[in-house]
Amino acid sequence: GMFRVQAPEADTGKKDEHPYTFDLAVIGGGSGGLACAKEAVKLGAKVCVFDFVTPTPLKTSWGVGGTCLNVGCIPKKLMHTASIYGELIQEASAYGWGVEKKEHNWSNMVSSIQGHIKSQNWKIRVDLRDKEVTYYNEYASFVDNHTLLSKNKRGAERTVTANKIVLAMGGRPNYPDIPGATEFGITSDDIFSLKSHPGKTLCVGASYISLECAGFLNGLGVDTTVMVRSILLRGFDKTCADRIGTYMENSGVKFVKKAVPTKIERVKEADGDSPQELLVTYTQDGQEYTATYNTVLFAIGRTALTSKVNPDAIGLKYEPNGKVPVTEAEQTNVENVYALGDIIQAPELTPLAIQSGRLLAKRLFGGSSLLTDYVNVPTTVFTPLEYGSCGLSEEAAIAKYGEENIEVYHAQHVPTEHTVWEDGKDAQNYAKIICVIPENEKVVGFHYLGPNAGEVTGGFSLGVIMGATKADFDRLVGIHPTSSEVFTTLKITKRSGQSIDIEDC
Amino acid sequence: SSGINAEYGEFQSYQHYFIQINLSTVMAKFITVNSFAEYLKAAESCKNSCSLVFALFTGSITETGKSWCPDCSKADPVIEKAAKELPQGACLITTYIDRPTWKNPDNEFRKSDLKLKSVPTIIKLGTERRLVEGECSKLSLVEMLFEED
Repeated sequence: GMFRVQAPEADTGKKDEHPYTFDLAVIGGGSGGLACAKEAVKLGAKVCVFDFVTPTPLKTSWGVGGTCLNVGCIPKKLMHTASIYGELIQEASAYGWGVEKKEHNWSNMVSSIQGHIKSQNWKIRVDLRDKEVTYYNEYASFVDNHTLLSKNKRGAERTVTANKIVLAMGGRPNYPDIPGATEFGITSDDIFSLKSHPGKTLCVGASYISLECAGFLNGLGVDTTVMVRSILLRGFDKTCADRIGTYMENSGVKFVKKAVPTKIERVKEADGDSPQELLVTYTQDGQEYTATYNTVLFAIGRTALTSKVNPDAIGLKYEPNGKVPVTEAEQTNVENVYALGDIIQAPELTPLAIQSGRLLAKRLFGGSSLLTDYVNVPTTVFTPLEYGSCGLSEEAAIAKYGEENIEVYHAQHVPTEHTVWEDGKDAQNYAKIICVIPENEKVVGFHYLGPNAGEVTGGFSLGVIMGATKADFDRLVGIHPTSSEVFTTLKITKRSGQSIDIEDC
Repeated sequence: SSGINAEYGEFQSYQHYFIQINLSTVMAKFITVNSFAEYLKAAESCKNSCSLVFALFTGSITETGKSWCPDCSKADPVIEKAAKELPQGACLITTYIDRPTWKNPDNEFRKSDLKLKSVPTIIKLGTERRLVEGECSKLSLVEMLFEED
């Protein structure tokens, strides 16, 4: 008889057997989303990425790359560096340089930084196109668990189907629910591209975002005030948080404590060179006060963008703050949908999002079983006094092991470079390790306050994740003269009550 | 306008040729220059008359009939193909750089705001967007650079 010959299958470019257009659709072109997409395409998957930035009330927007590149880590570190340069220029005369610190030009700095960011946005576009990751500058949301509907900025719609979907939309800053907040306030989404000098600035919030912004603004010569409801850096080690606050106060940052803004009004419009004036009404200790600023920056928290992808269409479980609960393999309650980066309950850090994005792709398309380790992730807060840490805060260690089972070794240190100029603020530099006594004094918390905190902490964190003990730290011979060497000669325990003040030699 | 036509006499006749055989095609503007100074003049005039301006910096053609720069030779046909899709109002300035000029580490191209580090390079003027070296011979990348936003 006749044999029916099947026509050869069209090469769909897909890796796996399924009826959908893409093997993987990623919503969110930030650190985590891009890392996942690029790893997946390397492993032969057919991938698309959706990225879209809803402009701020000020109409600020940005290109592909997510929060870190555009309105987070990168411009933050650059502005922090700009402010440090100002301090070093000031102190350079002690080293014989005949330099004079002149006024800082805000617009020139923003122009340089934005030029760098835009070139990075473009490099990402080239990289995605070159690797054949389909990129849609469109706002995607669920129709069903394999179907996405997306819209571009002109409202044109597209429907896309995918086998696996990864949510990596990140979050955006919150505004307080008070009159004038969205009309007159700005957030970290705006500060890094602000065309003109912010003028006298109020940073509202005690988060690391508020303190980092206030820190570099102050260092650049901006009249800066921080308004906080209660403690600084909730969740971080308290001793370190307090030292950061003291250092900032000693640097000239003004703090309005136990205060909450209740209203923002514009009492004077910007006029040519003269900036706008905003009247801030706030309550403190039950009393109402007002104060005037040119810029009010809210850094009171961030919300994950989960509610914006129409999660109810697929019955996706998520918390009121937007966070999506996931398994240790980043899987949500919907079998083919995964979540990573700032939208899950984990440290909100770029390298962690990148790591989890890559490992997820390797598990989905590369046959790997390696999971991301969310424990002992090192971080650094780039406040004027930088703070690096890995592991538990003292408070968390006490809660986990009991106060009698931990030994805290700590010390102050003065960077050699600073001894040429005398800087009373250096009394806040600090080093601390938290050890678990019944586990051979294993180090479960590493804390460093001082210059180049990211560089110092990055290296020592390897010891922490490998289970280093106090004896290992003592065995290590320090490099001299550096700030990091203080960790090789820690002697004084908190328990002993001995003073750690550095005496004059 | 007659001043520009006089300076780029070759271009004038080239465009005329295209108008004769492709009446329905509305062409982008193509300019060719051979020095940094000529490039600056072309860029200035395009800034005012064109909506989209691209600058291609490429190795000059030697007596062999080919460019001294192999990457440039590879990129040429790709750029030519993508350039056909450039809309009216777009302009592509091609600057031919000879080998001795380029090999001089102090050459004006390197030191200028262009910050040219290699040839071929195509830049979308007025933006941070550029393609360099091997990127210039990938059609999908050149098409992406030439897209209107």
